[in-house]
Amino acid sequence: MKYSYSGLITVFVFCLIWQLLSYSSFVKPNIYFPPISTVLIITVKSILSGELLFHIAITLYRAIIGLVIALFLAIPLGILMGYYKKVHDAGKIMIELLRPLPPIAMIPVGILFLGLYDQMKISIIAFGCFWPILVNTIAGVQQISQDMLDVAKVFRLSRKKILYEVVFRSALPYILAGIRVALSIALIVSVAADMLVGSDGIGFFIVDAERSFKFADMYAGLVSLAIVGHLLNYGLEYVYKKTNLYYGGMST
Amino acid sequence: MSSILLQLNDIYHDFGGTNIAVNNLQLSVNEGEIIALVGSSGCGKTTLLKIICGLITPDRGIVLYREKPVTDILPSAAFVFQDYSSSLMPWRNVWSNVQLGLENPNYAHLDQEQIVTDMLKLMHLQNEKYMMPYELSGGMKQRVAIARSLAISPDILLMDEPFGSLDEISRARLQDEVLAIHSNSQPKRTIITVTHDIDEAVYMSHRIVVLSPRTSNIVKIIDNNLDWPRDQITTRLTQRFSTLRTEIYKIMSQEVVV
Repeated sequence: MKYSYSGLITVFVFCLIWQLLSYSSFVKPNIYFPPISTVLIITVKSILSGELLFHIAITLYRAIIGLVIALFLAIPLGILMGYYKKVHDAGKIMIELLRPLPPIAMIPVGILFLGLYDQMKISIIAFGCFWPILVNTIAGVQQISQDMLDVAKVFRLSRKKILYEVVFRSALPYILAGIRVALSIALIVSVAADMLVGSDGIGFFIVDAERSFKFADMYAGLVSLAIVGHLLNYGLEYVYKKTNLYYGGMST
Repeated sequence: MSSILLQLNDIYHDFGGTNIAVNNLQLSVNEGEIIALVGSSGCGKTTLLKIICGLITPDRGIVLYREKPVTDILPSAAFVFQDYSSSLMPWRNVWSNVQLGLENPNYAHLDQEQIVTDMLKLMHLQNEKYMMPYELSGGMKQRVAIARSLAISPDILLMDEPFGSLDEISRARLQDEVLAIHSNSQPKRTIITVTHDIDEAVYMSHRIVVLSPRTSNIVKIIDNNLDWPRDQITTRLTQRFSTLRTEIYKIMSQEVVV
C-alpha cells in the first residue's frame, strides 16, 4: 500500500478540523477535547518516556500469544473438519452455537476459572481468534479443486503429505484471510480486557487517563492504538499479497 | 508389442439417476499403443480415464491391468489433467512440481536429481526450472505437467484433453513432443489420450475410439493406418488423413442429438 498525496491531505484536513474545533466553543466543556497538537506532543512524549510503549507492548503481547494459540488449535481442526465430512458433521452445530458468543462476554467465566491476569486475558483472546480462523480454514479446505486432490492421489502421496502439503497449502489464502480478521479481534479483545480488569495495557492506560482527567493522554492512547493497528494490518497485507501472487493462477 | 496391457470389461458408471457417464464399455488396449478416445464434450470421457487409473471405482464392470483387476490407484499409470492451472502446485517451482511424484517412498532409491533434470531437458524446460507456475504460459504449464507424469516412468500415460486450451502452435508442438517421447522410449509407453478434436485424434493415434455423446459407449473403433512418423504438415495433407477425419466426423455428427 502506498500513501497517496490526496490521502495524506485528508488526514491533514482531519487534524486541522480537530484543531479548530477544540479552539472553538462548539464542544463543551473544552477540556474534554484538547487540540490535536497537544495530543500528538503527549503521544510522542509518552512513547519516548517508555510509558506508552510499555502499555502497548503488554497489550500486543497478549493479543499475539492469544492469536498464536488460536492458530495452533484452529488450523489443524479446520483442516480435519474441511477434509473429513464426518468430523465436519460432528462439529458443525457446536461451532455455530459457540461462534456467535462475543469473546468479551466470556470474560466473567474467564475470571472465575483463570483469575484476573494474563492467562485469563490470553485465553479469552484465543477464544475470540479461534472462530474466524477455524471457519476460514474449513472453507479453504472445501474449495480445493478436485484436480489437485486427484493429482495427490494419482501420485500416491502419503496421507500426511496430502494433509500437510496439498490441503494446508491450498487453503492458505483463506487461512490468511481468517488470520487477518482474527488479528483485529485479538486487538479489540485485548484492549477491552485491559479496560475491565488489571492495571496495565493500553486499554488500562486509556481508561486510567480518562478517570484522572488527563484527557490529552486518553487521546494519545487512541492515536497510538490507531498507529499500531495500522502497522499490523500493513504487515499482514504484505504477506497476503505475496501469497496471492503465487495463487493468482489458481482461481479458474 | 501386441500383448494386451489393459482390458475394460462391461464398464458401467453413473452419477446417480439418469446421468449415465459410462455405459457397458468394452475395450482392450495393447502394450505400446496410442489410443485416442474422441467424443463430444460431456460424454464421460474424463470419467472413463479416471476409472482406468483407479481414481473412480465403476459401479459395474472391471478393469484388468496385465490381467489383474484394478482395485486401487494404478501405480504404473500417470495422469495429465485437462486443467493445467489447477493441477500444478502453485507454491512449488517447476523443478519441485516435476519432482512431486518421486516423493513417494517407493521411489526413494532413485536418483531424483538426475530424473528431474532429464525430464526438464526432455520437455525443454531447463531454463524455467526455478520459475513458479504463475510465471508460465499455458503451454509451459502443460509441459511441466507432462514432465511430472513422465518422471515416475509410467507404463501407461493417461491424458485428459491435454492440449484443449492451448493455442494452435503450442498444441502442434506438444503433440509432436508426446509422439517423439513415445517413439523414443523403450519399451514403448502406452498412451490413452482423450480429445474432442478429431484432427488431433487422427494425428496422434494407432487406434481411434469414437464415443457416443452424453454417455461413453463405443460407437466405432477405427484402425489408424497413417504412416509413422507423423508430420504436422505432410501427414495432414494425405488422402488417408482426410478420409479418416471425414469418417469420424460423419459418425460423430450423426450421433450428436442437437
